[in-house]
Amino acid sequence: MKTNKIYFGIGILIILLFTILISYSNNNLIQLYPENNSILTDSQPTFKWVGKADKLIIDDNDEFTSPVIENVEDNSYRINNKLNFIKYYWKLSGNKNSSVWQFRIDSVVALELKNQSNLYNITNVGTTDLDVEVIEEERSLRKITGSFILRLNETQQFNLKNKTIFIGKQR
Amino acid sequence: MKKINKFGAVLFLIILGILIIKDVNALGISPGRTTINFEPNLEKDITLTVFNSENKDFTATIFTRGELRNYVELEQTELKFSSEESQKSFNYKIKLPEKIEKPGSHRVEIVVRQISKTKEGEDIVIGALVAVVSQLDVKVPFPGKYAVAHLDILGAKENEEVKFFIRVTNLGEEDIEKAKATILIYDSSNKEVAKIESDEKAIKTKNRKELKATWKANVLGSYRAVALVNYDGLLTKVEGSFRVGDFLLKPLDISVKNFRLGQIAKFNILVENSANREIKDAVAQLLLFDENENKIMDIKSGPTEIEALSKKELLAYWDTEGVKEGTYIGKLILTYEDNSYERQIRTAVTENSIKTEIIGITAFAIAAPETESKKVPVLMLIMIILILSNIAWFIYLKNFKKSKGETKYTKIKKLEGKKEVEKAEVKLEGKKLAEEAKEKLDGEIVKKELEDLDKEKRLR
Repeated sequence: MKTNKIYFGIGILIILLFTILISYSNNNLIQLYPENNSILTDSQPTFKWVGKADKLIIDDNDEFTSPVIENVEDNSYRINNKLNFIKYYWKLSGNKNSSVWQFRIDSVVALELKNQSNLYNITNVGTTDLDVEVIEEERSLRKITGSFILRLNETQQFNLKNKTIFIGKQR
Repeated sequence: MKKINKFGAVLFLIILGILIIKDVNALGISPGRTTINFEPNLEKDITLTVFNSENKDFTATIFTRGELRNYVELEQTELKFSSEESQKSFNYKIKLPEKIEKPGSHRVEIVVRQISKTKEGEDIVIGALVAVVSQLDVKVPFPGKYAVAHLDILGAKENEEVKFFIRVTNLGEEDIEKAKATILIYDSSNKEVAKIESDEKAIKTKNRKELKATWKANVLGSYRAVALVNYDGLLTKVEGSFRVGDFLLKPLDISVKNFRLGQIAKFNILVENSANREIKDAVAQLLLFDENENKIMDIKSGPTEIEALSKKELLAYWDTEGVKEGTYIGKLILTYEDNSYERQIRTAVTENSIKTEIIGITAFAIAAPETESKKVPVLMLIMIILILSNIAWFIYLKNFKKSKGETKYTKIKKLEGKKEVEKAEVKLEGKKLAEEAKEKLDGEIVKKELEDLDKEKRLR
């Protein structure tokens, strides 16, 4: 009898928990990613949440005066266009609205250098277009020989005779 | 002989492999750019992350350059990476002075550069190295109240709303209490057809706000909008153009060839006529602005005809004497007959090249009105069913509990020829046994209904 009471109690508890969980997640939107006040390097993040949402709303100002509004169905969404390297605010709307979270996207400036004998391939492997300075050193003297733009994933090839430094910076 | 041939082949492959193998170096840093607002004597720590994506052993040196380099303190000037370390972070501190005279943007660069040495410890004399830069921009406010504005327009179809977004940035030292835009709309014959106002906002110093206005367009065509932004009695003006309905000229590409900074740049603006008729008087206008929204370029091509469903290059020239290298934001405005259309552009100017990309207006959409759902969720019904099931289970258990543990003993008396049942039921609970039942039924147990046979056995 005691066992029956326990079984009954557990059953009630499970139903109650299930009810609360379903009810809460249906009526409330719980944002997961990007986390509030986080810093990302991916300019096309996948937004994730729990609960039922109809729209994902993103803007670069917290008043959402000119937002990106995407219709969503599942619990995640990867935006189509790349975001800029600034702070963004985002929220969800459904039966209820979520709170407003913010995140920032930082750029990554990265260069890859591959060489075979005197031929050097320099590639932009970061997340932003680059201005690349070329500095040649000859007998302890440095001279800037030029600069060029290196877009995302672009490669330029050089035939070098002296020690050369490629300096990449965000455009 | 065979062994020698085999050995030779292996040796050849090894040598070939060595020749083919490329040496790879990679270096990265984040963030590539940080922007802060100037405050007197501000001290701020900034963290940078350096990436060793090839997982190599190497050493990098860190140094600063730029006009504010004397205000930067590096926590360390060297970073040593092992092949097991894919990234490392380091800090630097910016200590700003009491005052920087010139308003606007000031920059310092933190450079991380590979060091490569020979086995003897001497620096290499041939070869290449990479370095990456993290830029720090310090925005010094202008004296008093000073704002700049930028206008974005989202065109519309006939009888839909055209949306105007005026981005106002307060670059002054003082807060702006009220900023509001009045937008004058002109048709293609330069006749004023509408005057609308935006909302009004306060803008704190070093902040930015977006003013918004809408206009319902009744007539197809091209329009020009002039937005006058009044901020506490001061004015700034910004213009834009837009179209109501479809525009037939499509911009494809903007290019400049054989360029040297300081000389005349020839812009080739490639456009396409998407209509099945000739377009007359097609003109391309290019505007560029610097970071303080000052116009540095305003050029136009000559009017030209473009045949149906064909492409053509429109030419415009820019004298780049006095122009500095950098990246500038601007507009491309295309016009033909009475129609015009604009797109945003971004142009990078260097010593030997000008590269322009058409970026346009992105990220605008119409917000649907929010409505609350009145449907009862299906899951709510399931919840109700589960609760009812549990209640039913509870009731069933209770009844079952009552019958469990009881033993019924029934005495049935039969008469000859007739079936007469006389029932005397004895329900004994718990530990009562058959013997006790016998006593109660006068020693006669005819029918015994045991519902808890196992229990009785246990009790015995």
